[in-house]
Amino acid sequence: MTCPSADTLARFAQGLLRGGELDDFEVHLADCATCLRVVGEVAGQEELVGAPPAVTDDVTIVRRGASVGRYIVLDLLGWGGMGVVYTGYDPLLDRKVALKLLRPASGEPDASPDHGTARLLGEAKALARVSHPNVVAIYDVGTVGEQIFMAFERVEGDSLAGWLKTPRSWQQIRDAFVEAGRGLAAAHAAGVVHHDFKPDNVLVGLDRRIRVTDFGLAGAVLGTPGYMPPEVLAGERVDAGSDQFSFCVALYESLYAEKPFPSADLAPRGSPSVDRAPAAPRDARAPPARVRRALLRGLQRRPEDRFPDMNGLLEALQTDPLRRAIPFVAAGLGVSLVVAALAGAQHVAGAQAHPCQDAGARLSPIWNDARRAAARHAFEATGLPYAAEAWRTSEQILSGYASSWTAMRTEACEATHVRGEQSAEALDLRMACLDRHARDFGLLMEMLESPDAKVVENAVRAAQRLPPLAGCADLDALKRPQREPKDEAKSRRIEESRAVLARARALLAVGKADASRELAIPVVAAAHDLAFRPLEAEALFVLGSAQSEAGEYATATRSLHDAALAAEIGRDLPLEARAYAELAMVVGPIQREFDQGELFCAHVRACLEQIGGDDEIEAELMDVEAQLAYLAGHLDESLALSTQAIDLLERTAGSGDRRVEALRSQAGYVLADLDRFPEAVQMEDTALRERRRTLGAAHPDVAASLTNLALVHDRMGNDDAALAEFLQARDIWTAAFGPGYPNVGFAEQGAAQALMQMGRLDEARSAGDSAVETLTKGYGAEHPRVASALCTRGRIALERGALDEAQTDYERAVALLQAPSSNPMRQGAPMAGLGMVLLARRRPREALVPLERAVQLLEQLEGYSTDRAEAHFALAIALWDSAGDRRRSVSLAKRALGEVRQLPAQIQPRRGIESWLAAHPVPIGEHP
Amino acid sequence: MSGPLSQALLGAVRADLAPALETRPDLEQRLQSIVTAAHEAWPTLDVKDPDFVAHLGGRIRDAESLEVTPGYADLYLSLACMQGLAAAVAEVQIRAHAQGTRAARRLRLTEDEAQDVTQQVLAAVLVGEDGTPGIAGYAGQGPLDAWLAAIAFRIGLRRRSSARRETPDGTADATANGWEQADPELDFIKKRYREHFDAAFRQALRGLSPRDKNVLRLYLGGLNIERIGVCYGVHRATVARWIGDARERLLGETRASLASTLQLQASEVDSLVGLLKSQVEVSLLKYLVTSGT
Repeated sequence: MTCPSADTLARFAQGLLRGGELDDFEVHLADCATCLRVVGEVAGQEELVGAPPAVTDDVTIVRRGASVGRYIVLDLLGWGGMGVVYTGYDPLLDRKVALKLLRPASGEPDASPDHGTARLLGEAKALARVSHPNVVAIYDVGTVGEQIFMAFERVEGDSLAGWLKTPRSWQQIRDAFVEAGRGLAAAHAAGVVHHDFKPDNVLVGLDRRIRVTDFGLAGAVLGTPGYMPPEVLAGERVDAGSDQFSFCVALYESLYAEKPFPSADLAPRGSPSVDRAPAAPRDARAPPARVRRALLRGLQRRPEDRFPDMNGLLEALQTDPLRRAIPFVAAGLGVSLVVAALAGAQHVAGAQAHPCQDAGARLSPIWNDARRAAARHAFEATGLPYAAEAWRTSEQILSGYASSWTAMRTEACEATHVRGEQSAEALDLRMACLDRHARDFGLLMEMLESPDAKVVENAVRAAQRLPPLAGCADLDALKRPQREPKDEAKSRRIEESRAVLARARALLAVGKADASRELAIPVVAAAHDLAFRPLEAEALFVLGSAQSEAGEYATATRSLHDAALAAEIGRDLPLEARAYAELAMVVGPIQREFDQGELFCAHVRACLEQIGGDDEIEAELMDVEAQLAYLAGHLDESLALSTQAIDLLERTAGSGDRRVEALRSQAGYVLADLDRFPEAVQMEDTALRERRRTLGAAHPDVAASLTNLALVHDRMGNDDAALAEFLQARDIWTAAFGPGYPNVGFAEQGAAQALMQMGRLDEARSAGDSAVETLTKGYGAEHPRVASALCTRGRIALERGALDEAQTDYERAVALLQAPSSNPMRQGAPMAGLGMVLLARRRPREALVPLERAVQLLEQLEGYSTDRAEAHFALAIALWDSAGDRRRSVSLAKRALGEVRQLPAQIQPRRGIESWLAAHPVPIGEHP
Repeated sequence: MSGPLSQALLGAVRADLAPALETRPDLEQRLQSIVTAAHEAWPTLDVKDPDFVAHLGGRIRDAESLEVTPGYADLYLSLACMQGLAAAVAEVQIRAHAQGTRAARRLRLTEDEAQDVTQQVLAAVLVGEDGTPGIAGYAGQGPLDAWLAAIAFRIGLRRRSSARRETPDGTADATANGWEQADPELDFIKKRYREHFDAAFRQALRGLSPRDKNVLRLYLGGLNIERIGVCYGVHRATVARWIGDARERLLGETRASLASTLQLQASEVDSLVGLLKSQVEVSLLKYLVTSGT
């Protein structure tokens, strides 16, 4: 058999063969594996053979400006698996969306269009019901003529495929996939199968959230070779298990830098060979065997040999053997067995020989040299500038925790077995409590061993937040709650649920609220089924806290309220108190329902009274009360509460506790409001130094402290100090999160403001530009937060006399702040700016309109505001110069002076107002 | 009407194309554009215009396509290389080397094999087997790199199959094992019907058209449907339909053939096919991939 020339093969790969030549070639190709392979390789190289033909026949290309439903088409974004994607604009909600126009069923001209459209529409609607943080949100589904469109969330960022081009540790890769996997699981729960899961179809937002997109509908998508499971190749029924397979191919490929099935063998066949060692992992520290085992199971040829669902796979990907051992031990079997599971079976004999010996050894599988070293290396390997310091402090805290745990365990054991002071039942309760805490400890260690940036950032806080051991010493408290059911099956389910919940708690502590919430939800349901209230309360509490952390305040309120009630029924008073305290925080200071907030504070106090006091909860309560007092304008009371809370926490948790420093920052802010600037500086400075000491100078929290200090300095008129601090904060954030991190923009904005006040207008201008640019990149051009930076930049332009620039910035700021989500009062500042621009243009009459509006808006703002003073003064000038009400003009100027007098002397405008007032006396006869 | 370039071209084209080309009013003008574009692409290579046009003339396949394409600039390069211009030879060497290396990597050849392949590619392109360098076979339709890639993969595959023959073929075992991994309860049935199934499957496969077979094989070989669409100049949706239809036909034929050889009722065949279904893709791959070798 003679093969055709290389030229023929190359031309076929490029679509250049036609007619008889093509037919002849195909006859040969059908019997020649070599030519087939050559064609496959050449045709697979886009740079050689060009892009696929543009979509022509089956999708109408829509022009810019055209309407699709209520949306307006802006730009063509590209072709997705299902059709053409545009940027669209939703005039109703004033936001940009991604707009996908689906091609009619399968793009088959001969398919019955009505039937196909109906089916596609049905599936699109099912998909739209999937609401999950790891799935791109679908806002709307509808039809225009025969075409179906979907409007969905526009995600700024990269695809997972692009994200993976940067070297990542295996943990980072695994975690990203686990998030994507949660999205898939949520879709599966709604009965939606993806059909084409691969890294190109997963987005990594600028917010670092992972979102699965491009779900295939109605069989219109065939999947991508290499990711497809055998059952798809065989044309069998496709279900969630197929997605699991594709997911595993993608993760395997990302972790081991090669496909699980040798690509030389044209497609998956049978199981991947288990014994073949994966070549050159991306990361020098290869993923552990258990990850590989989990993947190989997901890659089984027969769907029934894979995990029953995505959750099983995800759990296995994250599990370590220690953690898995625990849920299988029934709690009713007694403490020694649980401990044996923790410590390894070889300790059982020892435990029987001398029950209180080697209490420390119980913790040794969790807290030992090897694991500490592993964690330290893993921290260092993240390359984050504050990683080493974060580990050092975490290690100290954990070390202290480990010693306390051991001491308490020994003591509890001896109280029963040696001194005979307490019953075996009491011992069981105390030991079970300690074991639960040990599990929390173990889970935290597990996360610290495979840290990503978020874990490193939150490590110290997470270590500080391990449950206080004192609770395990308080027998009354341990005895009070509802007892566990005696039924063995129930008991096992409770234990399993506790294990999941412990993981949720650990995730929350390291700042992964979304993941935490996902784990807490099923535990809530399970606990409810079991009618075991203490567990239900605990799960609801974790859920509510995670929701609050994720900014979902409405649902958080609900969960926390339910948590408090469940805790009350289950007689877990400390938990009830903590749930009410958290609830008070969410409802009061955050959602500004002050009365409700105070009501919940009263609940906390009632619980505390029954418990007989608890320093940590009390401190938490005072924190909420301090914030409520501040918001109500009771500054002295607020300050007193913050100071008390600081004292209390320093006694119990020690200095360096994250909560202490947060309270210090808050107290500093109040002190500044009280014009007690030196104390304010001292307060902020202490918080800063403590954070530097415990977290390392490069930790992002240090940048936050620097900004707080800078804000105080700014209000004192100490522009030099403020500038230096803003710049330091900017550098820390840039090093930690990259130049696009929104807080970098805040720091730049602060620096711009300081530079302007120092008269360094050119530098101020460029800092202002950076601030606007960074915030735009971080939040999107439409975000209200960009408006504040625009105001600063506008103000700088005004100072420079660049009136057109100033006007543009202020106008844009006003437009952005008109978004429904934004507080209308905030439009006051740019409105005043527009007025000042008009004044500078010597058009005082026109300036009256924006200035009147600005004053009206700004007067509703509480507390300190230079903007308000400026607006009052500008309106005074506008009134006078436009020959308006001169009496009102002078009274406004006086009011402005009064406000400005409260500001430190270094801040400029006072003299300006005084001299203006001197030059503009109220005309005789116009006095009242 | 007929200029010097047209004459050079018409002197070299296939006899059956000449009449149609002669009557094209824009012939000289088009050739001039092609020549100009080639000069722009390779300003330092000095090939005489009539030579280039004659070279082109000997390689065109129809009277219509005389658009300026990157392929023609590459054709100019290839002629310069054949004429021994040092810069052109070096350029072709670099490109051939790149494609050789790439193919070797894709085929997972060892370092030694890869060097071997690259040398063979260079030899095939620049020296040739019977004194005519292989590059004379490049017709300028499509980029030179694609042509080089085809040469390189062909050589690489040849090298690989000879190298692999020396060691036992592990992948073939893996395929056979697909049968044994299954549920033991089904083993008996599977073993019993395996031969029949294989025969039925083979027969069904023979019934597929070359197009169906090729599309299925390319697809299962890892080429995505968009790229297959490029080969056939059709949209991916069309390719998707082709694949779906081919698979349906294959399964349907297998079933029918099983029913007739085993004298089974339709329902019995259904349950048998159901049992064997997991085997279908393995068989598909096995036969589609190895057929012809």
